[in-house]
Amino acid sequence: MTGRVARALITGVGETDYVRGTTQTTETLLLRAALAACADAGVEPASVDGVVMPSGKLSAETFVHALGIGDLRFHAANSMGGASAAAAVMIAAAAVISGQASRVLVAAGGTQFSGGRKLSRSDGSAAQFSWPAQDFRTHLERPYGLTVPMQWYSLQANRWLYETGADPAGLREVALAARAHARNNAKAYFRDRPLTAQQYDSAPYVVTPFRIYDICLESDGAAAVIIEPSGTAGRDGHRDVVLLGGGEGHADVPDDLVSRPDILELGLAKAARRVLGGLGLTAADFDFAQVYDCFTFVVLRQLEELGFCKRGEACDYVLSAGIGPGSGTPVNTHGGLLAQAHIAGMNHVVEAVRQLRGEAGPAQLARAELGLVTNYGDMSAGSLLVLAAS
Amino acid sequence: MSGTERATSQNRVAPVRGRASRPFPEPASPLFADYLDGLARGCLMIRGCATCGARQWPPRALCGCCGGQDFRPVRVTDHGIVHTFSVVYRAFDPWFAERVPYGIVVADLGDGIRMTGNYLGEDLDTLACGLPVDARYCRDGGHTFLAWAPR
Repeated sequence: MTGRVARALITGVGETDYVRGTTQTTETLLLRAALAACADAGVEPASVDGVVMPSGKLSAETFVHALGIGDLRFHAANSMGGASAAAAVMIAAAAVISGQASRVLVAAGGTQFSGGRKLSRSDGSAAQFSWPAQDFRTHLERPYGLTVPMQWYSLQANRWLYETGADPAGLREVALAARAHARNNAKAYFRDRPLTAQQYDSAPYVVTPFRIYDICLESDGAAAVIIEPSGTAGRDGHRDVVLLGGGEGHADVPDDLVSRPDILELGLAKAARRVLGGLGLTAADFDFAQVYDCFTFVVLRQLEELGFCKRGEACDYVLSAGIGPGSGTPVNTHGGLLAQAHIAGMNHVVEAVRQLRGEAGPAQLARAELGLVTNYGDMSAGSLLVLAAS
Repeated sequence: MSGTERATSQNRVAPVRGRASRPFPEPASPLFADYLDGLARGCLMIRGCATCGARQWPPRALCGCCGGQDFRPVRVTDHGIVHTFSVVYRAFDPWFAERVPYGIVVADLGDGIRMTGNYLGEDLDTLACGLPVDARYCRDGGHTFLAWAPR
């Protein structure tokens, strides 16, 4: 039973344009994605009776007004950084399965590029973000110029390269695959900008071992999904997607990478064991995986913990089996955060749904029956969803 | 010359881009009083539970072993091994903007205790996992910060 849902469906998905530069507010973007998801589901916005906000970016009350909700029965917010969106989908599923709500909206994204606080800036604005255990950040990290996630994960990456002897060419392969997938996605920021190995190799380090191409986009945009209990399917010949299972995981010492006994540990490892084990599935069963890709390295470590290969073998895996278009198990068929847009990982959920419905356009896989989505955030918190075509 | 050495000497000359020192916490949390007092005196202090004796680092409100909330300072070695590191070429804080590249060291002190500081080596290319390092206590304005020098 662990991690098994199967009584919830994703009945609608919606997205705004994904851009870098907008005059729209986070509120407007989230609400427009929400309305688009309702339209896609073929439901009246006013019929939504539950709202879950990953990272609590907008209050439930705001949705009441914009959607015309007359009887909001359920709302929740969570806080797992980049792992929030997929975990929020599981909260929504729990709400509809328990009968607390019948139609729950989950919307993520915002003005990450245009909103004023950016993790890429040198102005210290990263300090305004909400991280776990702020005292550890302010006393033990910021005075030493350790401020942003790419630096935290570089600590893991350098240890991983040292412990396992992994080939850094694997990082490049993830970057190249993301750009190759982006060519098949109309919403991808880098759709018309392929990347070559030479370009990658000639780029300077930002934070060792990460070059600019190892680092995701900062984007403006939002994406939303509608979750309903099974038994509500079939409106207008719509192909609803079945949420077979999912869950979240937190690493040991979840609020501090530096003092974590195994600094390479990911919360996803615990969640994947529970959820995939509970469903009797292994990595080989999936037709695709949309893996949270804030950094190329983070994709590699997640592939290891999902069971595509063992720790330290992800570079060999991506270099031999491949994860790009045409590979056995393509990863991030929309281009991901690296090449489509950073929509808080909800764009990974949307792309998984499109693949399972057969609506992924030029990126559509010949076989798309079972899909995996991961999210990753903060100090390596993780979440995942197992989705199936109906 | 490392970014950190440049940084400390520059700081005494002129403030850079609106902030005169590193981004130290103001005010510091009482939880970190033993650690910060130790740095100022030139030693590394963690905490030990006054009830069960369990060591605690970094400091938290309650002992993770017995739930006790009284602690005493415990001195630990200031010799370590580089557990992991980062070399930073792009600043994410204004004070560091003119001090890149610089190195960040996570030093393993044994018994599961790790402490973060800046790298004081002459050459950032020498920074690697497994390198033996010794603590150095560097002044910046009214604060002391931790740095790690190759042994």
